[in-house]
Amino acid sequence: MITNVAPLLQFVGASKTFEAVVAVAPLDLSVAPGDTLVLIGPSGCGKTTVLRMALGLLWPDAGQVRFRGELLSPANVQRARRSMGYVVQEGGLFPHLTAEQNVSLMARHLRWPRARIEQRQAELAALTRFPINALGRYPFQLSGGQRQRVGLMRALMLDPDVLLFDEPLGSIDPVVRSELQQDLVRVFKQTAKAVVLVTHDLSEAAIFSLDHGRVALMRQGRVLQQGRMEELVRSPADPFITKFVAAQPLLAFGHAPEPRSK
Amino acid sequence: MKLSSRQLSVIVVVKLVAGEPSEAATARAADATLVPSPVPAQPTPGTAFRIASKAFTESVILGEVVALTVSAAGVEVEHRVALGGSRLCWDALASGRIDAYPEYTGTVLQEILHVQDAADVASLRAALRPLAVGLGVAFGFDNTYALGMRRARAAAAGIQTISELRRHPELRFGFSDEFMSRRDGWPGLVARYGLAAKDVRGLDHDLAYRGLAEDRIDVTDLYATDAEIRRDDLSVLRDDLGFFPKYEAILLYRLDAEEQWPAALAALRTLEGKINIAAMCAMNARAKLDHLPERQVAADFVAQLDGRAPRATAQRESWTSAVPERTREHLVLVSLSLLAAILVALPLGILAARRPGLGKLVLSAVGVVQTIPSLALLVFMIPLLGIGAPPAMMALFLYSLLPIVRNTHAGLVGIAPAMRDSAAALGLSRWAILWRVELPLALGTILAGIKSAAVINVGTATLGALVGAGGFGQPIFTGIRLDDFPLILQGAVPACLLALAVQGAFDLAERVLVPPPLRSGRRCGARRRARRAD
Repeated sequence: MITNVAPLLQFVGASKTFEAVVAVAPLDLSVAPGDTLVLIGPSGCGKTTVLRMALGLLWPDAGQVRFRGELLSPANVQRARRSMGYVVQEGGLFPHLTAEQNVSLMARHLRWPRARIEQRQAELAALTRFPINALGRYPFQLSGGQRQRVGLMRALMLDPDVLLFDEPLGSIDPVVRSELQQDLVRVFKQTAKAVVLVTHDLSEAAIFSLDHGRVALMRQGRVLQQGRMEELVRSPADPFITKFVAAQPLLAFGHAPEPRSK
Repeated sequence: MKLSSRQLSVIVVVKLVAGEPSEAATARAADATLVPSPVPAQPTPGTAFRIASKAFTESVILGEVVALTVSAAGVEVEHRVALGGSRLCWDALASGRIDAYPEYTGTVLQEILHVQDAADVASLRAALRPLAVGLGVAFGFDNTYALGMRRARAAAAGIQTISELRRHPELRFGFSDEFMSRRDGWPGLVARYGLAAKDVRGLDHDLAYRGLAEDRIDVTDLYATDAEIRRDDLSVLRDDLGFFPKYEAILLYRLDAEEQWPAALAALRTLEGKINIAAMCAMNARAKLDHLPERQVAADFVAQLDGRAPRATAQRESWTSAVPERTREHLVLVSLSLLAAILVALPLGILAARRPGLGKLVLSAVGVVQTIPSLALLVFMIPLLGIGAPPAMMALFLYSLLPIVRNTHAGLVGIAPAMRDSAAALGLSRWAILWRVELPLALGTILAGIKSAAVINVGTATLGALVGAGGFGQPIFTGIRLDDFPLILQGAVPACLLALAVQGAFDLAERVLVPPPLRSGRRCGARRRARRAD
């Protein structure tokens, strides 16, 4: 639900083109504290590019990305990133560090006291239901779901304002996937952070936007429709939305999504 | 013992530095402007009278005789044993790095003054004076070149004179590299006698005798004082056209050394005419055939000159005292050059990975350095850094750059861009990403590069002995010169063991420093794929 709170993350006509291919057409989006926005669309629709622009890993060709009302620039991007948590497929963990070292990397870099790091790690392990005795393991010794939980812990470590997820459950098997979905929804509720989540899976979009989240459906760099999931399903603004919705074995709300083989 | 091709190549290698690189010598001979370079009036100030000898037994013995005589006159003396060939010794004398070395009149004439005509000692002395070099102390023997064959082979072919070689182009010729490139050596001989030979190769003078004995070659160059002529029952071919010039043994010294150490020069003049050809032949035989150290041979000779009984025999440096010293020298050469290479190559590798354009340039530059043969590189360093450890360290340093730069670069560019994004997204600075993520991820590859540089260095450092840097090369090359196999092993075995130890140390370092998922033979990507496949 769009609230009256000042937006945390805001795209103002931001666009990005790669070698004459429009990745993101001038885009207007805004996310306020407590918001959940799910970007959904087929592969190559530009949803990942939106996340990368939010993080300053890419800079828009035109328009602006603002964070806490401030124009994002190379000068302030490092500070801004510390207020954002970024989770990618498989967690994007550093293979040379143990789970614990992955989670605490930034805190150690900022010279947090040891006790504070340990306390925060214990909190996060409980929140993400990660077995505390597995914290000493290297990523290759963890299951896909565990890696994802470590990725989430790492993103949450500095208690950021915004969480950005890029296909977080893309490579996880269906049973663990559903478990993780529920856990993520719970974490979103408990932490009350602004969340931007990218997926191509309609049922996943439905689950994450269930409470009060919005869905933005993208195609070829444009947002075709933005709003509640029900609106998209019941009154699609574009024939493509009808097609996209029909192509996926959707969910009646409240039903568990059917397992899909990839 | 068979003369293997490997030994031959070692010998060729030795001769490249010890003798004259033939191309360089020819080029110099052709370039009249280079010759003779006047001696700069800036001798390195030093307290010791510095003597060098050329890299063969007779010169080393003469060097020792000179050193003992100077030392007996109460002057501190340093002897750079077997420094190199004529050109190296002359350059060292001309540039003031040494004060004197024993030479031969024919060599002075042909290789230093580049004069064709015969000249007596007096006119040579006059010609060298403007170069601030004195020629004195004619020791009393003429060690001219000659050609020799096994007596049986010469008789079978009916060869007694050099002219008769014309009829036998099928003979296999093995000459010292210096002889091959000197105008008073093989090229001049071919021109004067009109010889045609198909099979001519360069090898070490000392091993040419072995080649003769084992029927690997038929003809070689000899020196008239060589001990082996009698031992191996060789036929010396008559120089029927009188080609070979006189090679009277004399001492070359810097004129300013005479001002600095008048007592030394006065003592040396007493050696004038004291060594006749038989005496020299006998001394060569004691050193080469009886394996006595040159120092002892020289000491016995000097003692007998003074009318004293030979002193108690000086033992050759025993291996128990020699090996630790050689090990220390070798370790210093390898570790300092490697350390410097790491300090330079690591930043270069990082730079190359960050700036692909510059990276190509850096990689090809260090690659080009690697293509220079190690001996050539050592020789190039001599004019810049003199003799001893510095040129050897510089050459080893340059050689170590490529493996480290290349592996650092490869390790860094091999990191998945997603890793860098993950690190950047956390809010780490560029330097923090390098330090906390990129370098640890590349560490295994970088260590492997340092390891291969270190292991190669241990081997290459043996060549340092050729420019006076010491190390395990010292016994190896002395052993080759003296035909002393145990002495060769005294250098070769520790060098081998050191290489293995270095390898082991780096394997250990990898276990300690590199986190388990990144150790060689266990790539976590492969593990992940395996896991997903179950």
